[in-house]
Amino acid sequence: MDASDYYREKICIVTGANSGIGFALSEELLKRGATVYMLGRDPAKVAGAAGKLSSHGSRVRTLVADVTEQQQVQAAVEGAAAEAGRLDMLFNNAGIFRPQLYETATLGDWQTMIETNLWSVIYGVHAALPIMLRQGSGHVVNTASVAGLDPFPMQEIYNTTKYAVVGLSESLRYGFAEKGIAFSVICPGDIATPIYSKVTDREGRGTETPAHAYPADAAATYSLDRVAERKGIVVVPEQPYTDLWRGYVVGDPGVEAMLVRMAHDRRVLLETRGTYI
Amino acid sequence: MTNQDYYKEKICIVTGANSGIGYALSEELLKRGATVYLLGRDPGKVAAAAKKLSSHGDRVRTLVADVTDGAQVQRAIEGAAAEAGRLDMLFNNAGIGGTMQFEKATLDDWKKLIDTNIWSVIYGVHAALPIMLRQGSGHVVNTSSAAGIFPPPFQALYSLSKFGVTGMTECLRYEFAEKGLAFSTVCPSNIATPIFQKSPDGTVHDQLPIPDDAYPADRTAVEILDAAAERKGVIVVPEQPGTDIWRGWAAGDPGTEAFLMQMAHDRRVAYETKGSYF
Repeated sequence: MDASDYYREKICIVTGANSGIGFALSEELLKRGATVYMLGRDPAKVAGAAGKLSSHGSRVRTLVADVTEQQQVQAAVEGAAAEAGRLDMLFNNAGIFRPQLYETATLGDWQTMIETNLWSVIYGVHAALPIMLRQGSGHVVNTASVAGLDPFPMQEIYNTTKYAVVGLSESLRYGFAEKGIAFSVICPGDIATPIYSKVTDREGRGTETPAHAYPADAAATYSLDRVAERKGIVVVPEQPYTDLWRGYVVGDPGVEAMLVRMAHDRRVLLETRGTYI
Repeated sequence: MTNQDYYKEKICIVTGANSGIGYALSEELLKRGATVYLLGRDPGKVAAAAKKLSSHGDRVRTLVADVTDGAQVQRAIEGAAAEAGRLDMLFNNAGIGGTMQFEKATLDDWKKLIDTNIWSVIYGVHAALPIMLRQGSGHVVNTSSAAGIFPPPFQALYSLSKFGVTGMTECLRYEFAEKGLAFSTVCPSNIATPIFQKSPDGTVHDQLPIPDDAYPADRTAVEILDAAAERKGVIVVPEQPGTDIWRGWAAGDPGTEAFLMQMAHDRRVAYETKGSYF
């Protein structure tokens, strides 16, 4: 089966589908013939995003749920599966990013990030897995980050949650392989999405998208090609992040020096401007 | 400075010190000349553990706190630092196992794992860091797991929590290097401790065996402290096969992939036939 056919007539749910990688994944899934339930918290934003994809007709659907609320996630996932008759793929994509100096992080900051980036994924898998096990098939695709593989400094709350998503997803990939359930974890680097505009500096200004950021549509295309191969960890863009990860794991002195320098540079920027992006 | 000297006269707190790796770390720290606050939830168990180490005199101290309660952790750490005049090392070691079939895990199991294995570390670092920053020195040693650097099947909950600890600790290592603070991540695999006999709700199952091939806890503590004294970041103990599995998994090595797939199969069969894989 080629990468395009993999998604044809598949029933998919994408969380965090309003914008960014979630929107790009939804659009690319629709192009490849899937039915996509776009899930978001804000009814107007979900409707607005679905409206932009209305050329795909009734294959575009919407779900309103707050991914930090277990019962809402469960109701949305089960509702979609009941309506469509099955659930082939769940993309647990919703997440937030906020770099900061550890000294300035409150326990409330930890709580918010853990609920949004980690519990959302647990809730999604918890709701979808029984359905997929009954079917004997299914594919869960979790969005982590390259920060789930490498310990980029000055974002340890984010890294904690994203490392955890990688560990969860990969453990489940092995655990359910012989039950016919696949798990992939997308680890994006800097992708051009609104996630940056939500990162504010000391004056409350949103951050510009970095010039080197990879386009979201290209990231979605690449990710879905690899997911169709049932690849576990999908690093996008593949380089330089894959080499960076492997270099870190083997204790490469060049990578070590780069991370130490990154910590220094980011600390200086956070202390002077309030953001390092 | 030799490994032995690194710990001499250091003020240390060890969480989960009643048993297992925490107890072994406490004993080895005492042997190397440190003052050790053994921290645990149960006053009777903490006192009993301290009593076994009473030959070290007043360098053995105790703290009672539930590591899943941020206020209790903060009070214990600040209290110890105030009493001793400083805090040199914090070993966030308390943790629970979470080996089970994902299908059978309830959301309460998840909460318990995340509270005990992740939040306890967040609370500990959150309380200790301001003290260490004021001092301009300090070393935090967090107990993760081999399951925090590669993903063993049937340990999805545990692996999630321990990957989180690894990511957090490694970030902090880079983040505070130039502030004079050190962070180490301990990644033990298969150590002979009571963790094998406890389910996430804390129930002890004496009938469950500790695996025959498990690595001795005292030897584990020696290796951890030798490596931590070198301010090593990730400490895999025993070093092999954990290190090779980690690297093989990250490199996409087909042999490692096949090994983990086979492990998944074997563990599933063991679960379905005898309810446990060890």
